[in-house]
Amino acid sequence: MPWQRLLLLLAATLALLALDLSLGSVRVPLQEVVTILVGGEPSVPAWGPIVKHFRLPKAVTALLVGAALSVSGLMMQTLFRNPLAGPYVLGISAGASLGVALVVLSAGGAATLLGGLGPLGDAGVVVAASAGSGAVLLLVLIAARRVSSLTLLILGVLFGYATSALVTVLMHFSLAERIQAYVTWTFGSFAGVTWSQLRVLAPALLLGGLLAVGAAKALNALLLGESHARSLGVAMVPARALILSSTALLAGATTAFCGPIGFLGVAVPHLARGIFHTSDHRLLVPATALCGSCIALVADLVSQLPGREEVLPLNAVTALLGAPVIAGLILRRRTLDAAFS
Amino acid sequence: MVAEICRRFRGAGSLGLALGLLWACAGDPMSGPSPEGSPVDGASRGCIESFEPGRDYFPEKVSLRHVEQVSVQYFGHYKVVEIHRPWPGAEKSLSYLLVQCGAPRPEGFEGYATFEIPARTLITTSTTELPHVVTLGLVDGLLGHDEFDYVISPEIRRRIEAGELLEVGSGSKLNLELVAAASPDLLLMDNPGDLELGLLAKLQELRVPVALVPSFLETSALGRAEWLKITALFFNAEARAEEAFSEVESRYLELARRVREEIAPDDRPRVLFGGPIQGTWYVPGGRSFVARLLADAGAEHPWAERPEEGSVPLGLESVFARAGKADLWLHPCLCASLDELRAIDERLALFASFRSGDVFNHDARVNATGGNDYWETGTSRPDLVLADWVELFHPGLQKEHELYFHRRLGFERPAPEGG
Repeated sequence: MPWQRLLLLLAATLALLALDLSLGSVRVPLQEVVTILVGGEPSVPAWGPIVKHFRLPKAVTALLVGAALSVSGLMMQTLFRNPLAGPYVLGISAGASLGVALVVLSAGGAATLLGGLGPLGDAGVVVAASAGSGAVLLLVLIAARRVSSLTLLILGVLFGYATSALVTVLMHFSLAERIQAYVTWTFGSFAGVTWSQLRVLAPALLLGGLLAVGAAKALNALLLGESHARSLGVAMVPARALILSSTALLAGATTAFCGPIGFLGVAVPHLARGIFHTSDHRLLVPATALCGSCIALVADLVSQLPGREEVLPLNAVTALLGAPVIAGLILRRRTLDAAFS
Repeated sequence: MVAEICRRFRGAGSLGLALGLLWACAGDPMSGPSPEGSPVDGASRGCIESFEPGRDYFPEKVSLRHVEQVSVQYFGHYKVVEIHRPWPGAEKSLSYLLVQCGAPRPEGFEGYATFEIPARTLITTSTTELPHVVTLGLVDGLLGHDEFDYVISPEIRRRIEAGELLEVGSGSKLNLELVAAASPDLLLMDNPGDLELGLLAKLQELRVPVALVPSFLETSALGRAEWLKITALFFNAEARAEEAFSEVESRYLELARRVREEIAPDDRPRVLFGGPIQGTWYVPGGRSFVARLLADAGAEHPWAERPEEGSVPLGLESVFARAGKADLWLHPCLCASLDELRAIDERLALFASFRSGDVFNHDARVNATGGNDYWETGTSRPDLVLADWVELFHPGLQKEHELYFHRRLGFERPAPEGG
């Protein structure tokens, strides 16, 4: 029964992927998309690069990132036994934001630069975001050996406050154009990811995903609480390290390339639990991943406003789209506690 | 940040001296002795000693031909200035009453911000105001400016290097204490900063005569440049402003006319403008300032039919669909070479103008601290900007013009195969 649902979800994901590839400001018929994907010549030459270089990387990014954020959110909710937790509770996006803010907002002074993104452009942003989230991850992993998960959660929140304060100071002393570049980054985007960036992003996310699958058993045990898990023979320290590394990889790599994409990570795990009525992570991890991919693809479709040339900020779309769905789900189930006990 | 604070302290240190001078001279310490009431340059340059009702104290008047956001009315000894849209989205206009020094304040203008003119000292908060200061001969009356790093003008730089100016910041970062202590006759601001902060009200409390001069809200290049005349109103410098602007205007209109008459519609190159930030490309709307300049320069703007006055956020693929084959590409990025442009997003190399190397940036005249003359002189000299663009779009049309603000972007290292 659940496997059927999983297959259905997979089919939906593939359908949305096809839709995302054929819809956009320019309408490319589906058979032409297929022609281009298998290496043929489309009837309109410009469609080739549009599908290959603009839509395909964007759709693949949405697919991977939606899954990555949702799965890391699921792991954090279970680890902290908190339905409000998400991929960013550890301060990973705060770390990435600080890194990007340092590069984008304090850039300048270099000879011919007029300010802005700095000589490395987006590449510099990616490096800065990775360094920022990597540094936070390191701190979290060190702290995780000594303190309880609850303490870790509070530390993450505190760290978030501290970073946003620093970002505020940086923004205060920055030029308007640089602030705009930073703010645009915080809107989140799948469209900025190129093939050469995907060559880094995809392996990182696949590795993080594999770690998450490997952590499924430990996650099941953690639902009972850390002491129960320990009594079941789950070694806490390695289990937590596995979960944290996976989350850091999934959320860190995503944030580095796409900006901090909110909402998906917190909301989608609830959607998956609602559809599958289970708290077994061996099922929940793939289910959450597929739900995440679906929602991300829909969000991408909507933010690209098919048929129009304008685009909407991705983060606005994910929240506007997801909030009612999740709210309805929670209200129908009346309580979330069931999932955490 | 520490350097910033230190710099401000140093500024404050010299302030005492400046104030002392102000007191000692009981007038303008910069422009030499100017005894009260003695007209410097016709009656309108000084204070009125004995007021004659009915006399026209402003024989020189401005006529606005391109500015859309302002109307000016002259009366015998005062001027009424209406700024229709003081900031983007403003619901009410702003009204200024400019009264000649020594004349009575006219009645019936309650609620008007009042200025005694001619002002002698001023503080500017935008690089676009600096050319006004230079053109109108106000350099010696300048007391302070926004951040010094971005200043290009040699006349202003000389005063900065001599330590004679205060670095006051701008917008929400305007240093109110520095401004209030300097007590300028006029503070020019092109935007009121964060409206929530109520900067304008605070400045009024501090009795700083502040005038909003949002020239950037004009949708034509000549309109922006003509704001020189609005600045001139406060200094009774109408004659100079008219003369200087008319030269710019006639050069601009003459070149635009030649383009219109001599360039066939088919010879207009398709020009792509701007570049993406994280996959979103803000292109100029069809009624924007850039769109009008492109049309005047004889280019085809791929989004000419769009109704927006500002820019429109577009996805990369729609930009590629419309402008992938554009002949030329202007102002693609804050970058100095094609390598840097490609590093922003490798897909930008798919654009035809990238492959043909017809990519031009407006950074030919920049300083080491991030200042760019395009944003300083450029706003006051649309004739020069237009001449640059016409040279790029229709080389040979002008007898001789060397690119002034623009330069072609090249590769720092050889392009890889097929790049």
